[in-house]
Amino acid sequence: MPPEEPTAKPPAPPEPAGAGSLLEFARGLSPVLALGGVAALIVAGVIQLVFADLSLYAFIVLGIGAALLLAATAISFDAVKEALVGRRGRYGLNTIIMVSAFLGLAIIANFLAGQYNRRFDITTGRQFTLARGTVTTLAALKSDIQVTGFFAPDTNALDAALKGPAEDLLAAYQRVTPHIKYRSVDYQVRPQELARYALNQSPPVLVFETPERVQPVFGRVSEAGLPQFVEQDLTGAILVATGAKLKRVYFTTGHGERDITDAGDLSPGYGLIRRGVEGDNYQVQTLALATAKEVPPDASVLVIAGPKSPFLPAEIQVLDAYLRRPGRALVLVDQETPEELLALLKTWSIAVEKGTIADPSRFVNPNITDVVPLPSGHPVVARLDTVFLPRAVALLPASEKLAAALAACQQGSLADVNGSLFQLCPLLVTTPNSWLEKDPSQTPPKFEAGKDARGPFAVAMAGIVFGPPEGAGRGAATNQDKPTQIVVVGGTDFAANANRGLNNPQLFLNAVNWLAEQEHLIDVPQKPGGLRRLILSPEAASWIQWSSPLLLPALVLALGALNWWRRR
Amino acid sequence: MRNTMLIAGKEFRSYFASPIFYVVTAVFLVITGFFFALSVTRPAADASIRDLVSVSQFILWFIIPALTMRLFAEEQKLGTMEMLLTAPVRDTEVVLGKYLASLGVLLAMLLPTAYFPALLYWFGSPDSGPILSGYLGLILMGGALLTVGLFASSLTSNQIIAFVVGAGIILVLLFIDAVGGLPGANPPVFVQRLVAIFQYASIRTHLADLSRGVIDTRDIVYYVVLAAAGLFLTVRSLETRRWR
Repeated sequence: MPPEEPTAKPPAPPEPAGAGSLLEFARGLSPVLALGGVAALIVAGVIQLVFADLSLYAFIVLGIGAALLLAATAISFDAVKEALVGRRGRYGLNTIIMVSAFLGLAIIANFLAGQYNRRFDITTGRQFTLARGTVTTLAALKSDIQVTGFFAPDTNALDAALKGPAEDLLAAYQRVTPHIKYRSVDYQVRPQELARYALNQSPPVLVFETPERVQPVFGRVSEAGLPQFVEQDLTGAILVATGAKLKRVYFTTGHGERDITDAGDLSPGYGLIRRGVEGDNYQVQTLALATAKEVPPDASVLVIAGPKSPFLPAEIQVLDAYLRRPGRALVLVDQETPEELLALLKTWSIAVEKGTIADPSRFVNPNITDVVPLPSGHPVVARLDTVFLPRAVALLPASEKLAAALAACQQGSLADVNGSLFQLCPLLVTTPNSWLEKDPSQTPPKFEAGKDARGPFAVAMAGIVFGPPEGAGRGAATNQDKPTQIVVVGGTDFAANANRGLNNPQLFLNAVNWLAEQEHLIDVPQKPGGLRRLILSPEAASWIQWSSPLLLPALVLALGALNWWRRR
Repeated sequence: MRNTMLIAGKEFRSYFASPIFYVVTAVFLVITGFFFALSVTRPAADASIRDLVSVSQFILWFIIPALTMRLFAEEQKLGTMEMLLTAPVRDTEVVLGKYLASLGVLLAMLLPTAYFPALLYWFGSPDSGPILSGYLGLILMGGALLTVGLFASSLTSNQIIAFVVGAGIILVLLFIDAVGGLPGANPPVFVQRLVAIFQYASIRTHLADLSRGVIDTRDIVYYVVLAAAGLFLTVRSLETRRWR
């Protein structure tokens, strides 16, 4: 058998000189091209996003990047194909797609959460929920307000304690509007910045500033005796800084009215109520009726708070003229209210019954004449659940004709009485078990049939009158734009400093806000002290200092040692 | 679910068998106790645990990777990972089991800190709302960060590397909002938006409201999504071992 001749492969066609090395060179270059392509895409994106004017260049760079990537893919097609459709490539691609999809969902979830978020303030007194009045004020802002907080937290403990809560409050403002800009300055480090404002009180302070005005806000002393920044003051500062005109509330003097400068904790004064009114951004002034020819034209509300001595006829004329202007008045009456004032109120549709109301169904122990009347649906009291009126007196329509004005309140309409239009709304009403005790010497008060009148009684009333109170004449429909508005409360002790608990101050403030047509401030209770300070005795401080970092770790280590011993 | 709970129970018990848990917990309590005492014994201090919550987020930065570093890294080092992955349990069950165990341990660590609010109630009259929401925030944040540590542990067989990677990612999540200070005055709108995104991505941003008594659904969603992302990535990371 002849030996097989070795079969020789036909020789490959000769490559052109240098073609193989060129291909190898190009393949080696493809990662560089790919990297360059990706870099170009990123640069194009940055140009497009940061320099919007250069979008033409962004598209050119984008095109170059795409071209480089295509070139890299064409040169290393086999490698790209293997990476995409090979076993590892397929699994890898699958993982990348799943991770990308998940990240996309995560971003969408967070975006939706941001768009449709809900906030729940679970602090006592809802410390971080802004009042409606504040939100309204902030929403109306058109230009920026620069707020500068002057605190020295590193050197002053009080500053350190106040800075955080103040900034929390401002952060809540910033969530409502982008127009509040805040910065903090350490006045110990940069005293020249503080000196620029020439303030007459020491920091800590928040300075609200617009190009036209500067308004500082200092901490208000809380019930605990420590200062804190409160929402009403900050909102007031915004109003002042933006040039909003503050409304004025006048308190009459000269007849033994409650003293609005007496802020003693347990006193019968109205100093704390005055602060509350100022906190709602009113300017408060006193008015001596005996020397005043008229109630000043800028009076938004006139308050007559528990007068005791008689009024001169001229004073009554001033008051009557004011109400006919038409004016707005809050009148607080009790057993000692002078007859002249009661007569004026009767002219304006509200009569006051003599006697003290006792209500065995709703009262503050132990005195059944400290009645807790039921609020009606009127805006002044709709959200006040508990108000107590010590020694309350009963109010009723001044005449039988005016009973129609009571019905008009329920229907939300006005009753035509002799050509003038009336509405009378009871604000607070006692229970049917109450009675009007005519004998003040009887203690405890006891209902006597046939002698004492049975309730329920209105103990606070709001009256609206279009036209003169005596009537404009039958058939004379009044076209007066604004009505006279009166709120009468059958009690004066309720707003005293000593009785500021429950919703008592809020009844007063709501009445003022309703009369001044600042309804958006109604139902915004001033929040109780948000900060709960820890006042420690030296022994308690020492116990906390030692037990906090040592007691618990020692117990845990002892447990560990016990466990180790057991397992050993 | 049964498999998940079995794995969780086994892992939970193994934590308590190790001295590491007691040492880490003791260190956590020493630091938190020190800062709590410092915050409430200064003059006119606020009767709250706000400072405690604030400090805890920084302590958890290194406590959490220490808790999670061994969960998968040790399995890989000892060679038991293959056994675990070939056992008749799903990757998801394995990951969830280990996560629940570490979450249980975190809660066990936080439990003794109830002593601090108890002191506040003893010596003062704190507001309960911020205390409850503060703890809710710590649990949500801790629960989310545990998944980051779990993911880091699934990447390597070296516990030290797992710790460093986990702590590194958490550090970025903690301080990513610091980029807000980088742009100068009046940056372009795009930069402002980017800064806002970074600030939103920060863990600290979302704890601020919770620590003062405000529960915002955004914060809850952020932590839940972060936790879900960590768990998802951990499952994917384990899955890649089958084809890598």
